[in-house]
Amino acid sequence: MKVSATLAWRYLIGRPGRTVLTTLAITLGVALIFGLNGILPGMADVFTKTLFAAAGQVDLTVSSMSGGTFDLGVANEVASVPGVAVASPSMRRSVAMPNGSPVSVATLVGIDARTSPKVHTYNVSEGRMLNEGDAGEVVIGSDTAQSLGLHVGSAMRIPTVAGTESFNVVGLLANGSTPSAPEVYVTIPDAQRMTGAGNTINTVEARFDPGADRTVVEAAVRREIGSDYLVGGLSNQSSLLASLQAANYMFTFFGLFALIMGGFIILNTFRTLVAERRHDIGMLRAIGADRNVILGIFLFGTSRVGEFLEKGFTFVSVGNDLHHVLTQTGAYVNDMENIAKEKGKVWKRRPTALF
Amino acid sequence: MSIVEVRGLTKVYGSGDTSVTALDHVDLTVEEGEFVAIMGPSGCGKSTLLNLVGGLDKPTDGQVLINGTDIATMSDKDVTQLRRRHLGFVFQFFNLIPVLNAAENAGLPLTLDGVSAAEARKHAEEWLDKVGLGDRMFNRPDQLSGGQQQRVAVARALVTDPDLILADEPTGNLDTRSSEEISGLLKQASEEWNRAIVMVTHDLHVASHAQRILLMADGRIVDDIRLDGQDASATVQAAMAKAGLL
Repeated sequence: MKVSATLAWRYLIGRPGRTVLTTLAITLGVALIFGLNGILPGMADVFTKTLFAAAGQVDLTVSSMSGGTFDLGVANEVASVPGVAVASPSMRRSVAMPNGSPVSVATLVGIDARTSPKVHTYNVSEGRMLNEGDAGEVVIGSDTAQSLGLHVGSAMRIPTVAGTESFNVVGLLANGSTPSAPEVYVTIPDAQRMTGAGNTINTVEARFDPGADRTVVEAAVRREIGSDYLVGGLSNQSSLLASLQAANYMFTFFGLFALIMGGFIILNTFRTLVAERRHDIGMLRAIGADRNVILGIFLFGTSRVGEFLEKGFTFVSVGNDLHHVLTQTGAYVNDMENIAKEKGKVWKRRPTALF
Repeated sequence: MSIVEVRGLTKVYGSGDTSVTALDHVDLTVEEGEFVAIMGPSGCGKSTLLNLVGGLDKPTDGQVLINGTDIATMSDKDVTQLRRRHLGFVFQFFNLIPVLNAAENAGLPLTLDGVSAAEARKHAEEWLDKVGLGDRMFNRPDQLSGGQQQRVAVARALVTDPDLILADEPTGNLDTRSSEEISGLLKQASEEWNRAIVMVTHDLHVASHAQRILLMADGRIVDDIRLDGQDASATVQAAMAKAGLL
């Protein structure tokens, strides 16, 4: 092994140009394989979220078969099903706005401030989204705010079972409402109180784990919660599902392509090395080098290959970090908002395409 | 006992209609310290014979016995060890490792055999001194002339004290002066250091340093000329004319 190491080392330092090119080729090959395949799940996840946000869809919606309300615990049952990443309860009701209001009917949406941002993408253009523990606060679409002449800090009057109440507008959404029925977001306890629904909800929305089999998870949810509920899965939204599946095939193809390309680069590099040293190999065999010595020269060593792999794992790490940033930033921004609120600091969220 | 004994050696490349018979039932014996030159036109099987004797290729039929042992019955590991300890090779294009210096190249067979670097270097320096390269020990191949590189190759072939040296056109890439030096070295290896040498060459003048010249044509040995002090040029030319090689 010593002679293999000596020869390999002499080749490495004796031909620095070739060594640099070989190292680059192998590093790039490894980077292509590990780096791209590391970042692809993140890209796919972001793409899915963006598509859902654009289409206003989630992976799964649970409502009562009778159209009525049901216990808040159903959300926990849905969340416990394998393949479900997060389940968020909500209370939705149409509300007739006070006479003379430019908006005649709105949809009151009571959300769980902790889980709802993990299911929906809320694009806050001004102010902030609702936080856990908020009471008497509301978030509306910026177009609705414009129609009603409201802004962050204004008081918004909303009819409730106990009469019209005033709510403080804390945030405006860039994509929060539709022209037909503007959505008005409050916390679940506020919505339950406003509608007299007690401790019940009427909708559970869920997001699946990446790569989960939709049909299998939907069936598992049905089994878990029983037959009294209407389970609407994305499998019924054929065009959206087709788009998602096409995108998944595309990302899978990218991954496969990266694997083949990276493998090809590495294989070709080693083939070139062997071809370049064909005469040397023949001579070494002739003067008595056994096959292991020849192999050892090319595999010397393992330490060099280890270094290449180490570099590859750096790219894995970069890909993983990027994935994390792309998918988790929204949650961190919310945390920052909470901290800013606690400490009484000024915080202004800027709209982005991702969260 | 003969160093090399070749019996009915046949080598056929390819199969069916496209097969080519490179060697056709060749018999040959080389004694200890004997210097044998093999001549013949291109494609007559000279290098194939050398490769088979050196265990670098496998025959289609026949036997190659080195020191009485049929190399076809030996494992790859044993053949490799045989080449390392009992055979020396000299090639037309020197085939030195470009990233090793003269001493390291010359000592490489010993290093491959597990001899310590210091011991290998000591032996290599002795042989480089004998072939006239005492002042070029630490030069790399690209810092040496063609003749000097081939002398390093000869030192490398001799460093393990082999029984047999196989030289495939060792002067084919050298000028006249260097060719003469290398031919003289091989003759010295035979006469002074008692090594058996089988050398393939196209050069009659180089071949004239040998004790015996084999003429080959179409995969067969067509003449076996023992020079014994005769004028090689006239003798070989007459033999070549007789064999239809001129």
